Amino acid sequence: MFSTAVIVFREVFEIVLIVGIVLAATKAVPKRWVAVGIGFAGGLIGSLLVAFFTGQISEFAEGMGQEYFNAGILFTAAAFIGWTLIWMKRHAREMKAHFTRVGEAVATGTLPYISISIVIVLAILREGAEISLFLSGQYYVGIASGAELAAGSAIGFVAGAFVGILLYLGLIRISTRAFLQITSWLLALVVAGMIVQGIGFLSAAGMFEDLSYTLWDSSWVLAEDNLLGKSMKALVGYTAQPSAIQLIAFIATMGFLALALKIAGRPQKRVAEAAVPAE
Amino acid sequence: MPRDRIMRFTNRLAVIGVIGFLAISSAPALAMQDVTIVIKDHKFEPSTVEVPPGEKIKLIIDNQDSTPEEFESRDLNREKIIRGNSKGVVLIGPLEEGTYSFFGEFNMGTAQGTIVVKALGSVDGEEANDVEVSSGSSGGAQEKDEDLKRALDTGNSTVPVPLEPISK
Repeated sequence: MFSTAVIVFREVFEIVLIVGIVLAATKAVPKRWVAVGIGFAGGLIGSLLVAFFTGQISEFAEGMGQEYFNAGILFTAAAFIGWTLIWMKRHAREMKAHFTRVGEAVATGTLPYISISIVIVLAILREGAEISLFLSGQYYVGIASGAELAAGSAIGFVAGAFVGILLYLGLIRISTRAFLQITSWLLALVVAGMIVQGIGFLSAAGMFEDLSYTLWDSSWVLAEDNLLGKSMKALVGYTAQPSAIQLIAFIATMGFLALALKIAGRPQKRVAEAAVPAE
Repeated sequence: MPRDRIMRFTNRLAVIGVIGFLAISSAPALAMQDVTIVIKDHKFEPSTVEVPPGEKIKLIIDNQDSTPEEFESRDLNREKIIRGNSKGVVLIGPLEEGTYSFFGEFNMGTAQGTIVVKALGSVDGEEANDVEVSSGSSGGAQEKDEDLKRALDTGNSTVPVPLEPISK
């Protein structure tokens, strides 16, 4: 039961880090809980489907299907989070107004809702599939009884959710000015981290051969198997033994985002009047 | 203006997509050595695998348990779920000499193993038998495979295992 709880917690933990930050960052988006609900439902169904079709997914691309699939999930999630980040920057003034004057709605359009749903679905997909594969395996072989597995996974889920709620509540309490700064940076790091992990999967599939050599081993400073290492992996794509292409991807993504945010944050006086309807 | 931005963004995505596609489709046909690792009763067999340095290796993880397993190695930056009673491929290398550990994430208590990378000239003693080399090749490489198998079957570890990569 204990080992079940630990494994479930570990996977849920990775989900809540991403979801917690995204939810905190989009707190000014009104009535987003529907989108959140759709995201969770979609993620749940999606991860069961992924678990069910793991074998078929693996067989694609000469056995490298799982790697491409994971990379695809990570890149798509990164694109949507990055997009949301830029959107937030462009609506920063409205969002600040929303925080200070209660009830003032942010002119949103549909992008943030779609983005929230999709990011949650994708965050749940991979880890959720792992959880369901692990639990079904344990159950069918009779390593653990249904009751033990249910109790163990319940503990894992509750503990994971608890961490997520703490993270969310902690983030949304930060004062308005610092809030936008901090969540922007966190989201930018999450995006870069996802790109780095996605690149890692592409390397595993045999791409970037010339740039896949390991640059260093920092596992003596921070190992990936403890909770801090795990957090850093989910947040910034930390790996103790990064490859050259991963470092390049990290720097390039952060550079791209910094530039995009700078452009998006420019005073939009010239544009502002014409800008509203499409967004 | 925002429409323009969105257009530019989608264009950029398209360019990235095309580059990605080219990168995938132009990946060279790789010369690779196959090494099979069996998972049985939540253990790896063999649990120690020796491979030569500087080579690309195709690990075939043959999960003979009915439960799924996640083959994971932090040293190699690899993770892959393998369903029960099925096989999965993990590409590794080229690697420098050294020891690289791997484990099964769903059964970490038992499923542990290491990949030892060293020049085959320095193979010592009975460990050479741990390397299970299977052929995944065609044509001219066949003979070499048989030589290699014979060498391994005799257990005579002083016979140098040919290093030429088997072309796919």
